[in-house]
Amino acid sequence: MAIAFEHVTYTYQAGTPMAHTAVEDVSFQVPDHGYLAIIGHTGSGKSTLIQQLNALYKPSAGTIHVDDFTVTPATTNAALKPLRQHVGMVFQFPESQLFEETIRQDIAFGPKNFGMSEADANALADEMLTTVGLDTSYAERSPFELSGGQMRRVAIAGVLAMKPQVLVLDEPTAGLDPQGRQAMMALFERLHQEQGLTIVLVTHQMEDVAQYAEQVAVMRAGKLVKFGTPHDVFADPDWLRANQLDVPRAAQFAQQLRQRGLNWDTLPLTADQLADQIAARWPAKGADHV
Amino acid sequence: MTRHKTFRLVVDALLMAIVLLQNIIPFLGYVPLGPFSMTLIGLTVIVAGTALGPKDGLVIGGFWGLITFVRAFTWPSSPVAPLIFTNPLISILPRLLMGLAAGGLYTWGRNRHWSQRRAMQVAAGCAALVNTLLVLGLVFFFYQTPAVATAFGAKGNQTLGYVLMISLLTNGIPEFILDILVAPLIARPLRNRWDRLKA
Repeated sequence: MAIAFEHVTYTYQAGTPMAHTAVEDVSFQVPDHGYLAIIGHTGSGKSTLIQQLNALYKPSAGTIHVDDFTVTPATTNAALKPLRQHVGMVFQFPESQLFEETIRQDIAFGPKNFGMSEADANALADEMLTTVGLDTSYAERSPFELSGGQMRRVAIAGVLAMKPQVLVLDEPTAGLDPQGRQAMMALFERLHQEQGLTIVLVTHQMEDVAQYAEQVAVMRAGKLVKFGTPHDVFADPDWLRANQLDVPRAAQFAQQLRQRGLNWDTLPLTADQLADQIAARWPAKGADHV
Repeated sequence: MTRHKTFRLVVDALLMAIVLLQNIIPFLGYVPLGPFSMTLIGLTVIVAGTALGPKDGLVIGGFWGLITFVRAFTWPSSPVAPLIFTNPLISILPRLLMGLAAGGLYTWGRNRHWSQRRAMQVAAGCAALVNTLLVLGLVFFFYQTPAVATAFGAKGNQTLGYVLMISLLTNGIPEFILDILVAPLIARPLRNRWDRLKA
């Protein structure tokens, strides 16, 4: 198992009158090279949950396993540095983390922080720049001269430069145009497929969940209310709406068609699946008219 | 014209907000070093001066001084503060002049065709010195009393001059180095954008 949560609870300001439990008794498992999407209404504890993954918050109760690492409430901060390299975190709007004078220095900052030599870190930075789809002509420029989408790529390259095995993404496409969003999601999919990274994605885009995720976790008020494949989770649209979530657009359309008498073997979740199932029926329908 | 005036107004307001944050959140404003602490607020003033100009340095520096002054009565930042910073000459004047020095020296250096980085480093270093030397100098000048010396951490028969020298070494020098290293890093992108806007 790449990631396993065992009865994890997290309370902010524990032991004070203002204590607030943001994550309560959460247990789930993600296999090696898995792709987990976490969805839920705003304030449901998604961000708190993922910050447990590299122990920015240590659990108040319970145990977290991430590959060879184990985090319990008693784990000391000193022991966590290797975990922070193992789990790469891309926070919301990561472009605001840029600070160095050149893009190369900014990307090399992480690896140098974990003890890599300057020359190796710079070489790695150039490599990562290509990975995220910018060429090395950018390396000497100031990160503050870039467009918003390019800045975000640089920030993500800085995280990838630490060669994490688990990549945690908190709404990585928020505020991007449709093309930028697609390019970003394709990049993560490629890292998942080619380099075998385990990916944890927090998102409000049900289309992305349906297209990329292998497992989905639904959070509500700090609790894990559903965990399963996208098909399990999206099978009950009424339940999702009651939790202030929705099904992907393709599935919505498929349901409207179902109301008009089309019966799906499995509910299509993406436009491709929908088109495939419609195409499979098409000849049969056409034959009636001949 | 009005566009860059509005931009300046907003940036000044944001820098003031940063100074307020640095006062409210201890970690952002002060790095404790034994009995003394090194402040990071001077850095913000230097950035204001070098990135925008002497006028903005004056405004942000004055704002910091005013806060130091009021805090000395209501919410002292250190045991020394109620003894010395209740005097506006010590709390406000050095901060005011530090922002002015940062902005003025940057412009002066650029007019002598120094590189942007060099002009910023010199401006940052001099501004840090202006602040440290004026505060410590004015304290020495106005408050030659054992009470102030004790509050500064003097033991036995150590004199005020001696403890001020120590605080110059433990605070003044790290602040000086930090400001030279960090101020240009923050100020350069801001300055470039500001210059482009004015052009």
